[in-house]
Parts: sequence; structure tokens; C-alpha cells
Amino acid sequence: MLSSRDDWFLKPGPQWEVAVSSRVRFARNLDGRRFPNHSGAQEQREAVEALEMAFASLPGENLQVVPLKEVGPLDRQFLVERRLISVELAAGLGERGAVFNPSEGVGALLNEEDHLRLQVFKSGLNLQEALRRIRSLEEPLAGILSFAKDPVLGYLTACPTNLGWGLRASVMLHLPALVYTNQILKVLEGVNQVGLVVRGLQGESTRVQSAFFQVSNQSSLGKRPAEIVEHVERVARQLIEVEWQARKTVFSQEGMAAQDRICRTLGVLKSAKLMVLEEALDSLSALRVGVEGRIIRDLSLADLNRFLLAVQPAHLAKAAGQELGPEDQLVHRATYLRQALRQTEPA
Amino acid sequence: MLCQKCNQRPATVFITQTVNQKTSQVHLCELCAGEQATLGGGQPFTLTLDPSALLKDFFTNSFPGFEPGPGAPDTDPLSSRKPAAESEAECQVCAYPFSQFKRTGRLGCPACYGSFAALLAPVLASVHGGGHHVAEPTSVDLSRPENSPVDPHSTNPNEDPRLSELRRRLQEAVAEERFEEAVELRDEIKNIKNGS
Repeated sequence: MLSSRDDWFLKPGPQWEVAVSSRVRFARNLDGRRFPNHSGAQEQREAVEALEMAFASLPGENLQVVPLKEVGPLDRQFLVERRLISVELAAGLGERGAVFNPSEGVGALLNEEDHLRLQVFKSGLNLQEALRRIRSLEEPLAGILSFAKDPVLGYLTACPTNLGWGLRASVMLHLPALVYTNQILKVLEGVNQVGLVVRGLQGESTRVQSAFFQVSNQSSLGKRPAEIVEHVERVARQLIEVEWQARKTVFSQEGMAAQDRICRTLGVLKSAKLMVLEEALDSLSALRVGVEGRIIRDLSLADLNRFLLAVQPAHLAKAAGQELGPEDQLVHRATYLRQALRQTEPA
Repeated sequence: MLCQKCNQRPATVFITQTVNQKTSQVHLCELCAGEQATLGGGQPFTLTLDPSALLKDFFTNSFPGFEPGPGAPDTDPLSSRKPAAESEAECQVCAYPFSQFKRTGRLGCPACYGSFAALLAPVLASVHGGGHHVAEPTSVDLSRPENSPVDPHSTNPNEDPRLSELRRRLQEAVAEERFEEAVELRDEIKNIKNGS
């Protein structure tokens, strides 16, 4: 399951210098069954099997079934880092499953909070395409299985916030200039005021990491999917525009000082012997600006997207072929980055 | 970290707000964040001035015959049952206690929405602003070849006809809950795919 050249996040997407990726997710439950958190083991297993078989029957799809019970903690953590399964699903006990095509960024979580969590990732700002793709999966599944639904509340979900279309559309944005110029809080407040919410890199709220922000809708009741997606895209476009302006301002006002900072960051990554995850992510965030601003050469956004995954704990361990203790992680991470960046120089 | 508003559920959403020219950040759970987002001011928020009217629609359109909760007009003049106290309320189908919803933010089964209609109404109104589901016909006519999944990494448009037939039969078996047959068909599909 290590990365291949075909991975979706290595391919350019619209506005991908700032909009790293887009994700659309549907939440669905099987009619006449209890939600996963209130089901016994037998009921959970039946739900997973029904879903797995429905997926297996979809014509032309190339989805792998991952029996999570048989997957060890390291591999599960790897899948979490790939955002293919959630932290909850990885940690959860009971009958759970996952189905995905990793290189396409298409997958489903089975018996997480709801029986079915379908998701599609696209590179860059591309929610429309992600929505089209997810519907090409959801609609045939709805024809085979019966999803719990209500005329007023829409699709019935374990958590009432997901009622309606059970749709969450989110965009991962890289906004380092807005952070650097201290405009980020005002900008995020504006996002909240139009009914969208913000999360960090791994979907948590407590750590907004390295200027990466996930912006998404909260409710999907009362609107059509296309309207919801269009709303998130519109706001994302505005954020991208404001970020470009801030970058222009920083470079024109600070000029050489800004370039210097980025190149020094590169220097540290090319030499350090130990590297903690936070510093790696912050540094890669700076390099992203360097690549886009042509301050650094012989490095691409695709490379950086790959590095952002490769420095994560389970990815390092898989590459090393063994579990790594905390100190070994620091060594391996630093070694990886030195190797990966050995051809990269200031422009 | 726990939600800073309800102090019960885990915080997953980060909200920035300015009050009296002072900007602060809060960490909220999904439910409280939902309420916050809807009240944010940007989205149209239809305040239901008559909560009982909302409940009445809910009952007559979705759950005919359901007992009205407190404050709702008495739709069945012959009924004299009092609604259960919130702390003792349980789903009529799966016996899930409402108290557990308050703790976890999750319900037990689809029928919980009916059983707890009155108790959930304020939550739904504040999270979703009184919105009703907007249904749509299927968006994509999947019988047209140009609408099939076209990403070359995901699909094989020239699939072995044996596989297509087996998949068709598997779909029928799953839809009709003939699961033993479905398992055999699925395994046959797997063998063919692994063999090719």
C-alpha cells in the first residue's frame, strides 16, 4: 500500500498551489437496522457484509476490501495518515470495514459512526468533480440496498448534524501568508459567519497545523448537493484570492527577507540529523511557498505532497520495515528529508 | 479536548468569533458547532416562532400516530398519556435512552428520530435552521456510457462479460437479502479477478 506514481495527490488539480485537495463525503445507514454504536456484534457483521457485497457488485469498479480486524495497528495508522480511514475507525472495536481504491482517492468506511461513509478526494479545488464521482457510487448502492431516509429529515444518520444529504464538502487550504500577516483569525471568522467551519490537518480542532486549514459546510439539510458544494467552492475561491494577495504583499514588502527565511528552512532540512513532526510539517509548509514563488528549484508540489505523508510516523515505519520508537522516528524523518531534498537548491 | 460549550462531547471544530471587538477562538463539538454555524448570521435562518407548528408538521408528515411532546397541539383528542420525562425517554424501537444521546451526540437507530421527535426538535431547529430535506431524482443516468465512472485507475470499461453477469446477480441477491447466495457470488467474482 505504499505510494505509487498514480496517487491522486501527486497529480495537479485546479489551484492546487493553495487548495491542496477537495473531499466530498456521504453518510448513509441501512434501513431497519440500529446504528453501529448501538448494534451488537452479529448485527454489525451483517451490515458490513451487506455493504461489502454491494460494493463487490458494482460494475467496473476496482475497490479493495480491507478487513480491519485483520489489519495491525501500524497498518491502520498508515491508513489514517492517508486519510483513508478515520482515527475513530482505526481505534474502534467491533466489526468494522473499509473499501477503497487508494490511488484514485475513493473509499468507504463501514460501521464507523454510520453504516456507510463514502468519500472521494480530488487534487486541488475540484468539489464538483468529486460530487459527480461520489454520486456515481452512491446511486447504484442506493438501488441495491435500502438507506434509512425520511421525507422531512432526509437521510437518517447517527448524529443529527448529518441529516439531509449527509454531505460534507471540504477543501484543504494552505494559507501561510494569511497566518504570517496575522490576518488569519479575521478571515476564519468570516468563514464562520457564512455557515462554514474550519478544522485542522487531521480533522481535529485543537491543532491548526502549519497553515493547513480544512474548510467545510456543517449542515446539509435544506439544500441540494450542488448548492452546498457550490457554496464551499465559492468561499474557498475567495480564501485563495486573499492568500495570493497576502503572498504578493509579503514578497513585495519583505522581498529578500522572505526569500531568506524560506532558504534557511531548506538549509535546515538538508542538514538536520533529528526532526520532529511539527517542525517537518511547518518546514514543508514554507517550502510549498518557496516552490510556488520560484524561490527554490528542483522541487515540485507533487514532491511536497508526497513528503507531507512520508514524514508521518506510520509511513516512516512502513518504509523502514519495522516499528520505530520515538527517537528512531526523529532520525528516520531527518534522514528521509535529507535524502529527498539533496538535489533541491535555492533558485 | 471537550467541547467548550457543552463540556460533554469531544471537540472537533475550531470557531473564531469577535465579541466587543475582541477576537477569540473556541473549540466545539459537532452539535454545538452546528448551532453556531447556523446562527452565524450569513445563512438564512428561519426562526420557527411557533415551535408547536414545527412539531405538528413533523408528526403528521413523517410519523403518523406518534404521541405529541410537550407544547405540541394535541393531535389525538382521545389521548391522555403524558410524555415521558426527558431523563427516562427511550426509543420505542431500539430502547436507546435519550440521556445517552445527550452524552454522546449520537442516536441508536433511525426510529429514534420519531421516538424523540419532541426532544430533538429544538436541536434540529438550531443546527439546521428549520430546513427540510430537498429531494432530487438521481443526478446521473448511469445507463449512458458517458456517465459511467471514467477514471482509468478506477474502472475497467471492457470488463469480462462473465464478471458483469456475476455482478448483476450479486446485486439482485444483496437487494433481496439472499446473503448465502451473495457470499458465493462474491467469492466467485474475487476468484476470477485474482486469476486474471
